[in-house]
Amino acid sequence: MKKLRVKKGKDLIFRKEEEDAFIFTPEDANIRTLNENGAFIWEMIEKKERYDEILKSLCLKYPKVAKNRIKKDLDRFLGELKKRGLIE
Amino acid sequence: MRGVLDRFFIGDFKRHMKKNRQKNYILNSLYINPTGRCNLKCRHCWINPYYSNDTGASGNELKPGEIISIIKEARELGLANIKLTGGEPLLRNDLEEVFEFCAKNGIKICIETNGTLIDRGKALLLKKYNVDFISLSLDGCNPSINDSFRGVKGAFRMATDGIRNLVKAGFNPQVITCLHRRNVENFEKLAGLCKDLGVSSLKINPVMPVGKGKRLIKDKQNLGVKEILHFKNHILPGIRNKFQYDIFIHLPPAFLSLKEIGKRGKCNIFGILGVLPDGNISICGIGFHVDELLFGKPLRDRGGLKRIWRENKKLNELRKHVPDRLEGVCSKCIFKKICLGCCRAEVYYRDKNFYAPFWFCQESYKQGLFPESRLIPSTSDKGMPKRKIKQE
Ligand code: SF4
Repeated sequence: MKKLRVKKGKDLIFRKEEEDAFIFTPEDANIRTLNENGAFIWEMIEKKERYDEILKSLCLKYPKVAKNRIKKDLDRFLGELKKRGLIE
Repeated sequence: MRGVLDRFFIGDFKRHMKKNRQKNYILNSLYINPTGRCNLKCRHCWINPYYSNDTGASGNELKPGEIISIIKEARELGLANIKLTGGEPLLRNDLEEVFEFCAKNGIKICIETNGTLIDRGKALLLKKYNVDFISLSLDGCNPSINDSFRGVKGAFRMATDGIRNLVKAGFNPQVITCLHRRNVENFEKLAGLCKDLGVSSLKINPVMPVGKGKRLIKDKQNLGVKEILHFKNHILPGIRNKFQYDIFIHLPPAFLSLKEIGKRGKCNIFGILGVLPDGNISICGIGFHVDELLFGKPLRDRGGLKRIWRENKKLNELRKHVPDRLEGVCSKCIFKKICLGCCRAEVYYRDKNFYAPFWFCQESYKQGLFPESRLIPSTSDKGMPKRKIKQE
């Protein structure tokens, strides 16, 4: 999963508010909530950052957490996004 | 679904979406109005009942056995709970049979009452039948504010006694209050009083432009959209912080955080019917006002409740076209599938149109106060009112 991008033709709407962040998919009017880190990662995906870059940024954000734990979490999160058809 | 570090999280809102594409609709709740009478004369009441102090059933009201018959039929359609509402439901002191039937059959009971008729004995009776949830009304922190709004002297004392009796009997009641010009200044005191009385939550309702509420709005005794939002965003958080219990204002999802949307109950119009005192069926209590929304009497009409539930034209129209045909700001709202346009009964009452936009959202849109982040950007502006662009 080295190249990440928002699923084409999906018309996803990402919104970051004071308290919340969410992705809205007009086709089924579903809303997926993201927490702060989820939103951080999503914004990087939107900017077409590569997987390695995202991992690096997260490691910088959480210097006290082991890299492989962050990687495991990131992979799980990306898997969830993929499962929901939000990235490819 | 959460990561090991619980830091990346994605949650779905799908479970909050009301399914309106299924074939067999489940009749989850009956809103039962056992009487159209009330012992108070509240200035905001949307039902506009006639004043009466008489307990017991009056001539044209359903007998307990008749209410049970309707509940029995509703069970076959999936009934899980009933809400007794009004008029003042506890004016009917002959409902023990109904409570007993529900308790025996695992049907949850919720009661919306003005609280003035709950003496110790009544509180214990409700506890005996495991009533699940009770909400009472209090509209001011003292007799002067409350009683002038509720139209009867002594209402404050009787309602606060009612709360005490419920708490003593082991209930955690909710207080519902209507936000209006006279209580907004003293709202903190009201919140403190409720905390001292031992209520579990305080729900704040804006005045609805239905029934007597229209008069209140005409007299400018309500708060406008801007004031309500100011109250929600700038006053309420401090009060909540001070008293540390659940105090919330009932507004459409567009004005709530996602957490709040997940937490608060929403009107599931696809799973409710109202039972009026004379046995007529409607969407909810709106049948008190709108004759076209009276669907018939299951105890009298062929096919009973099942036929109404499955074949009534208005119900099927609602199911088919809400939320897809919602108009105005509701058509552009990200939450329309979750919200279903808030209160469709109120909308129909005002516009005779199930799909008109909900007043609070439409008005806030016009005033430039509708959160931009909750609008679907690509939708057309056709039929939309002009609006100020500035956001709050
Ligand atoms: S705009 Fe309509 S659908 Fe959206 S929150 Fe308001 S009432 Fe509900």
